[in-house]
Amino acid sequence: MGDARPSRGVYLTEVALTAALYLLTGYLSASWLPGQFWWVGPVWPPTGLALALVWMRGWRLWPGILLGNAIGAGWAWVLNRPADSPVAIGVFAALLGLCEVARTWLALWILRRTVGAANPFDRSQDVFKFYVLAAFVPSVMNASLGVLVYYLAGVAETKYLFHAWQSWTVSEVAGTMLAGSTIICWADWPWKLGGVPRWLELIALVVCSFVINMIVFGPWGFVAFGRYPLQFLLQPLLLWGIFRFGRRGTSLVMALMSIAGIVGTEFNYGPFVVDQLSDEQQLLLVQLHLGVTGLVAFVLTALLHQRQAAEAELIRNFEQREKELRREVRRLRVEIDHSRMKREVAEITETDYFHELQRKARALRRRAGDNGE
Amino acid sequence: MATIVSIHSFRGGTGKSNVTANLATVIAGGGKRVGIVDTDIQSPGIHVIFGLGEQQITRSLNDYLWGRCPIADAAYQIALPEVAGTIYLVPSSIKTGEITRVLREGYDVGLLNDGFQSLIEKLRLDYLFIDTHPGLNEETLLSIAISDVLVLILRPDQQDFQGTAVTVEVARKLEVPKLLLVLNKAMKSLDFAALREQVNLAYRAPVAALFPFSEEMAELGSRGLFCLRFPEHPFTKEMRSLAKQVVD
Repeated sequence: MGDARPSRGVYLTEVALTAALYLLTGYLSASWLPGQFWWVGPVWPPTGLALALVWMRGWRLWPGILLGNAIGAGWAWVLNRPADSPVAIGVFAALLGLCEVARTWLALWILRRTVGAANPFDRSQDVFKFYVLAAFVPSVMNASLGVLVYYLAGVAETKYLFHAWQSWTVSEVAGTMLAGSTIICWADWPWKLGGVPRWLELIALVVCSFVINMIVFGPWGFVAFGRYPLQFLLQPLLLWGIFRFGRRGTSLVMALMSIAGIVGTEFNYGPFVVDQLSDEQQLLLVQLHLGVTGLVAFVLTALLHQRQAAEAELIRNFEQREKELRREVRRLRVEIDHSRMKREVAEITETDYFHELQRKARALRRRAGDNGE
Repeated sequence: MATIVSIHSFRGGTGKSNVTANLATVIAGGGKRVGIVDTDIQSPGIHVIFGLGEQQITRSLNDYLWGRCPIADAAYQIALPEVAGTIYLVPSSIKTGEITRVLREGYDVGLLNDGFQSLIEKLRLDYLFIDTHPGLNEETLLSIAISDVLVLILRPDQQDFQGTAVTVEVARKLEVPKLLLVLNKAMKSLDFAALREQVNLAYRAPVAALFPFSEEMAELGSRGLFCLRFPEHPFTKEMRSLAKQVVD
């Protein structure tokens, strides 16, 4: 997708937009849900954004990811330790930016090697590859390198290193799964839903999702049910999205569920607010729940898509064969085996009866001709 | 002199009797005296199209062939008020015993020719139509040999193509003056123009008519003369065109 080389102006605009988008989502995440480090929160959608952008538009956008991440990391350092030297900040920011670029490159490489150019949400086995290989493995690598950079910079204390690494890994995996899958699923343009009734149905799905999410993860259900584990109420909505709108429906319901789950938990609503857990652990828990739900939902969506594609292929093949048959019938050829014909004619004509008949027929016609004259 | 028209096909089920009955009726409609002889003694059927019931048939071609009566006594005048001319039909016997006797004992094929000539004279016919038995045997060879016009019916079917090729060659050796091909029961999905051209080229004979498979004809199921029931139907128009080529 999108590997045709654009003009210099378009390319620079794309890189700048990538950097801006990365910076914006990172800023929103880090400022709203601050984590142990300044520039990586417990929920980190920029990783999913970065992967989706390079998957759609090509690897050439890597400078945008580098810039977005490095500027964000450097800016967060300046805010927190303004007295440090600009060189140290620059090196630190560049290293974190390069780590993110490496993470994104590895995720894209894995996707290209294991899934190819196809949409990773088309086939169930590719969904697993996306979740396990493209989301998990690069996130583990980046979390390890990132924690190391923070440690070397003197920001992270040794006793919190494992916890920081764990939190970083989960936030990146969840960010890839939730943001990456949503963007990739909605990337196929145009969105042909099938007319106004289908758009109205989609709006109804969004409204229902909003209401149920507000009950499960928000204040509406809290009044009546407290923190009862009502997340199962969202399953029918997922099925609605899966069966009626395919991977777009699934990703839409998952995105709404993710936003509601994370925001609700942050505001102490919903079933993942547990007294024994810290705020960050609660967020990790809700992300694990969303990740597992998303995996199951996308696998089911892909299986359904595969079945529909197989059926469509069968119908197409059948129609093609029928068309060819019709064409063949229209072209019906008059084929005569001449040697067989000569043999059969000879069997009839080389008899005494036939010679006699020939003679009589000639005489008859001659007589008829004479009478006519 | 009367014109003898043989309607023949290499295989059964081509719609020979239907074409014979309708063609004869169209020609009789022009004020002509037309006779039809059903020589398909083994599986007679044309009498049904003319509405001649078993009870009405007291004499048949079989009686003539076995010397029981002159052929003209086995000719039935068909009453069709809408037809200007006259139609006589000499049916074959539909009694099972007589059909099996023909199969068992055969008959003197030479008598057929005498009978045809006698019929032409006695009934003062302008046209004599011979509805033949499918395939090539002594009786059909005789019918072809004495014909002025041979109408060969075939379906767009590979087996018909091969058998018709043999019949066309035999007819040429018998020096039949006019040979017309009729394609019957053609599927509507076929390219008719291309089919006509192919048949023309393959047999070096004109395709005088092409009748697509007709649901109305199938529904009628031999219970009447199609061209009288549906005078404006494309089948009837094509039949008139065929009649014109037979007459010209």
